[in-house]
Amino acid sequence: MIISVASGKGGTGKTTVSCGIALSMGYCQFFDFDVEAPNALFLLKPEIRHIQKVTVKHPVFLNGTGASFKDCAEFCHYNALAVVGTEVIFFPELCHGCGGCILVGPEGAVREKDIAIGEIKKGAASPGIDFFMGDLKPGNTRTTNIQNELEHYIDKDRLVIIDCPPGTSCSMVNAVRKSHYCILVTEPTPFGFNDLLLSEEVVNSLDIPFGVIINRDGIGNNDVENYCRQSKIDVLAKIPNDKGIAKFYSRGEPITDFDSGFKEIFSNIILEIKIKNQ
Amino acid sequence: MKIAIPTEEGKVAQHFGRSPQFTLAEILKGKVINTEVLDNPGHSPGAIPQFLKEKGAQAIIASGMGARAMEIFENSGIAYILGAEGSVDKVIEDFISGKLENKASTCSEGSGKGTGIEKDGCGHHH
Repeated sequence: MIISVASGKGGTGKTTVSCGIALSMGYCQFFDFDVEAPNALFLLKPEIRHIQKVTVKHPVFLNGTGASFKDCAEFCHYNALAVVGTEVIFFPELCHGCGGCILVGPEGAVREKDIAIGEIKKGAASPGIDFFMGDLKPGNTRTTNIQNELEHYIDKDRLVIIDCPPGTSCSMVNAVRKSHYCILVTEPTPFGFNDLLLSEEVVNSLDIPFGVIINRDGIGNNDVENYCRQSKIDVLAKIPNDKGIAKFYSRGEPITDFDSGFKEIFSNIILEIKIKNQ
Repeated sequence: MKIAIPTEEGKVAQHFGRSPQFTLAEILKGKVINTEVLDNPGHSPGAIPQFLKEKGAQAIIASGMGARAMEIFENSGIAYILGAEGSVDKVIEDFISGKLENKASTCSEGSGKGTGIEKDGCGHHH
């Protein structure tokens, strides 16, 4: 079963929760899909056993041959090509690596080359966690390419935990869309509430059942909880605001080390999710 | 060159940080000219990479290691090979003959997809 952990607002506690779940259950697959700023490794402390480069294909134009690249520029959906006479200017930041210009371009005048955009790392963390993460090279924008490489390793017959990037843009949608259930982590503040509604919209449009964990309970008001009750959204847990948890986190120590009682809380949440969604 | 291998009962240890010993092998002209087996100095953060650096290791051959250790080795210009397993002697032999597979693709060819990998250069020695 694939369970994603997402949030609208950043910093609400996704990684705290996703790692807490993994450490409580053990013997699962854990994927850090926040490839722009992966942080689960600091809490799970995996031994990395395999690093794999992720590449995308970029075109190489043989300018100066007199060949016309007009077709390529017209074809490019992403405006990555500008034709000046018979020369073409290529904007790598806009290229999506679709390979279309290579297909439609004049024979032999457009080649392709592999550009490394980042890596995926595979390893193991205790207890029995198969750990996978992506790492996008700074300056690159192709988060989904790295996420899609990671996706190959998902074994949906096992318990799979996916730590998602914050927000509701492409990379979050891509991280969430294959999951069977999504845990939305929020905080009980106006921003937390607003961004919870945005992320709810995403999971609803993807038809993914979800529940909410309210983290740092006590710092705001009851609006989130009231909303969930009215909308019949499961509030899976309320984690109290505690400086101790934050201190542990800042030292790379997971919430289950702060208080081993969380192991039972997270295990029960997973049990509840499995019962209601199988 | 000097290579270090986390060792447990003559085999590559499965857990870098908790490896009981480290084999330090000095290789010259394709032959091992000296071997030392050192006890693990203790797993406080950053201690083991520092220890191996002080012992003059220029490359590490391991099955895996934590991200912190990797970072320290990278910053110290020490190369690392991941995915090694089995007898330490065999691993050293394979390393010398070039047969050892490296699962840290920053130093290996053929990983990734496509017709040619654009290498930025390894920046360290093999």
